[in-house]
Amino acid sequence: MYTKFFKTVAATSMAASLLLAGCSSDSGSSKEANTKEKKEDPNEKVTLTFWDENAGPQRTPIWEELIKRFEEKNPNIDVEYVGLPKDSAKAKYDASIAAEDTPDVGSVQTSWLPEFALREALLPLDSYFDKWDEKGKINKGAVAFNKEIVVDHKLYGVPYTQNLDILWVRPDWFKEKGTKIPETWDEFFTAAQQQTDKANNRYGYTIRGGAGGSFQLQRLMYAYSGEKDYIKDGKSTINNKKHVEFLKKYFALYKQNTPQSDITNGYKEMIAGFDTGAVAMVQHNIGSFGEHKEALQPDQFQAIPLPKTADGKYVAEGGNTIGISVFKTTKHPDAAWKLAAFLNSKESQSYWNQQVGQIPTNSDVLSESWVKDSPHIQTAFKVYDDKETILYEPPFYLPEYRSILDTVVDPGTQAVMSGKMTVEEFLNEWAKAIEDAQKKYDEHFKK
Amino acid sequence: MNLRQELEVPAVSTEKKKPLKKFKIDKWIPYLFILPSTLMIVTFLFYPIGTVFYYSLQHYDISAPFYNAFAGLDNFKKIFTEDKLFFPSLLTTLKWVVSEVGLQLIFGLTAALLLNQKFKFRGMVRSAAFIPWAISGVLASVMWSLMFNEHMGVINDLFMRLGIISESKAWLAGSTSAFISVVIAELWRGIPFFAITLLASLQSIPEELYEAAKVDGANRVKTFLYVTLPSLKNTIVLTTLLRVIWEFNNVDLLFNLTGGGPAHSTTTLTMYIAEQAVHGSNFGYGSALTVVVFAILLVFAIIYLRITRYDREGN
Repeated sequence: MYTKFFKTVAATSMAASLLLAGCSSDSGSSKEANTKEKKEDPNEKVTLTFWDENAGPQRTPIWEELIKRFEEKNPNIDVEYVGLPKDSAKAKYDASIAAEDTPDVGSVQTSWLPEFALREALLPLDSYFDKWDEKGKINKGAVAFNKEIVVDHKLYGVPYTQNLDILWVRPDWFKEKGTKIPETWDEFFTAAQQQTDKANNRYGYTIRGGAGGSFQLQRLMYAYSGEKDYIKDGKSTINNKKHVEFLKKYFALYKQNTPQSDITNGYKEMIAGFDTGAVAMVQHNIGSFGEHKEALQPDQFQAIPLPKTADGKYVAEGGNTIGISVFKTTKHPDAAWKLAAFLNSKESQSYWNQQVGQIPTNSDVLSESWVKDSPHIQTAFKVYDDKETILYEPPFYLPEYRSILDTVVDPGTQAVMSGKMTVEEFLNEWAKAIEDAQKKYDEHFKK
Repeated sequence: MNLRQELEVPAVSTEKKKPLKKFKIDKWIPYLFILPSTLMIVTFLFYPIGTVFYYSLQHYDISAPFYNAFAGLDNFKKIFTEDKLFFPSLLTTLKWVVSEVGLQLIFGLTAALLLNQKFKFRGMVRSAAFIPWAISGVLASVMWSLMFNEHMGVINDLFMRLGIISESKAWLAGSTSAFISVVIAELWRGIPFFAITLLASLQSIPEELYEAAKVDGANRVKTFLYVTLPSLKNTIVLTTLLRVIWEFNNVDLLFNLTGGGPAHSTTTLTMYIAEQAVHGSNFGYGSALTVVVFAILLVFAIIYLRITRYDREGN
């Protein structure tokens, strides 16, 4: 009886493994076919998949409109849009690369490029880009940055938008109280106190204590310290004295000048706090302009740069761009590039960036009137065009960089806010995680 | 002679009728019938489970494939010796499972006993009582997160009107209050499970037992203790076992309401696995944690069924 049972199980297992092996050998041959298929018939009917890394009610319609325009111009190419929610987009890309089931074209954050390039997931675009007649118009610094940060210094993403972290403030409240909109860090902390009126459910500031809070924290810390290097001689600058000093002041705002629920705030909750009139100042980037525009009157929101360092310098994080990348598994690289080039054209960049409220990278768009008439974009230029501005560069090349932010920094922030950890312990843990990752990287790649 | 011949005839004839060695389709038919489901189970259950065991012995991080290598028992060693979050998560899981299953059983049994009584609109009340079970986890978490909201939540409003609190509270922001809040939300959703199954079991208790108890002079409490409870024993054992496994592995409400926070105060082992494998893309370590969870649940199930002597006395 048992022998029969085991024989049946063994037979079915073999059948299943043959089935699975069949699947894998099939995918292997199709992979081979991909690499062999070089020449494309320009009139062949092709379907491309495009992944958006920040889908939502605001951005999805913008991409859909651009795709519609592209399909009208290229009737033989169909584009399937797939929208990924911002918080899980990186994990989705990671899984697709591991499964060799990537899209043809995708919107890829610059900070992901080094890792994706190391994993050989992307198609180098140099040859296409060099032949493109609009190549000279794309922000040279941003293109050079994208090449510089990847292991083989090739171009894996053409940036279509640039962003900057700033503070959104309520100018009407500052006017009402007769106080100054902050320009220095001392003024920022004072303003957070002055604007707090708990009886009327008003808070001076809001902290992003939940998902993605690590980005906010890091950008504020470096803006305060003016530190240019993220890692110096194998040691991380994360736990330097200035950062400890800043975080002590910063977390002291929690509950005193911020809502209590800030400890679990994600992006949506944080922005909702500002847009519903509960908060006077919020740190985010110029990309949330669209949300504020919908919720508030023009005189109720204003973008200001992050306060200057003690010696009067602006600080911004390098590589704050998003680009269009083509994935190596594509069967139609020419058509994929066509889409990438279209999305970076003057018209597309103008449409996308105007709707979202970010900085275009195509110089032709920069001269358009909407750019000049957008105060928040002018605020960003004020920082980027300032020769004194310090650009620090996080170690995007470390494969664990993102997971450290998600699994060490985000929970650590909550631990400090709930009093379970000191600022020093938190920063030391963060620094150690970065240093360990750097050591592992060096051992593997710099033998 | 004649008689012997007569007797031998059938013997000879049976020998002649012996079946020839040929393919017997009848013998294989049952296996053919179960083949599709066996294939499905092997492919979609055994194979993935097997891969989890395999990856638990590997350094396998999908965002850093160049570091992937055989790990042996390194992942397990790290879990029990270096990991600062494993034991706190295990403790949170135990608190979560015990409070959820215990409270759901008590309230579920009470609801089942009430719904078993005859009263007007019983059908409607029964349907209404089962609604939370039909609501998806994501919807339930959105609903509860709005109710717990610091600025516009109905709970704050209610408590302030009743004079229990003087200013709005962010219920999901404090370590203890977040845990209690999620326990309440999950409790609301889980009670109908016990209520449904226990009600079905209550309805199958023979009326004669109650009549006999009445004749013997048993009061309500004694009837409950000596008739109702023993009759429900098998259902209770099975439902609590299922629910323990279920709550142990539960993530939807926790994930959506608190994300395991603040500061890991609501991080159960399953949430921790999700954090390591899904957020951290460290599937090797996540798999090792899953194997540990599997072992814990397996040991629990065996011990629990032995202690409760499930199915030995009831039937």
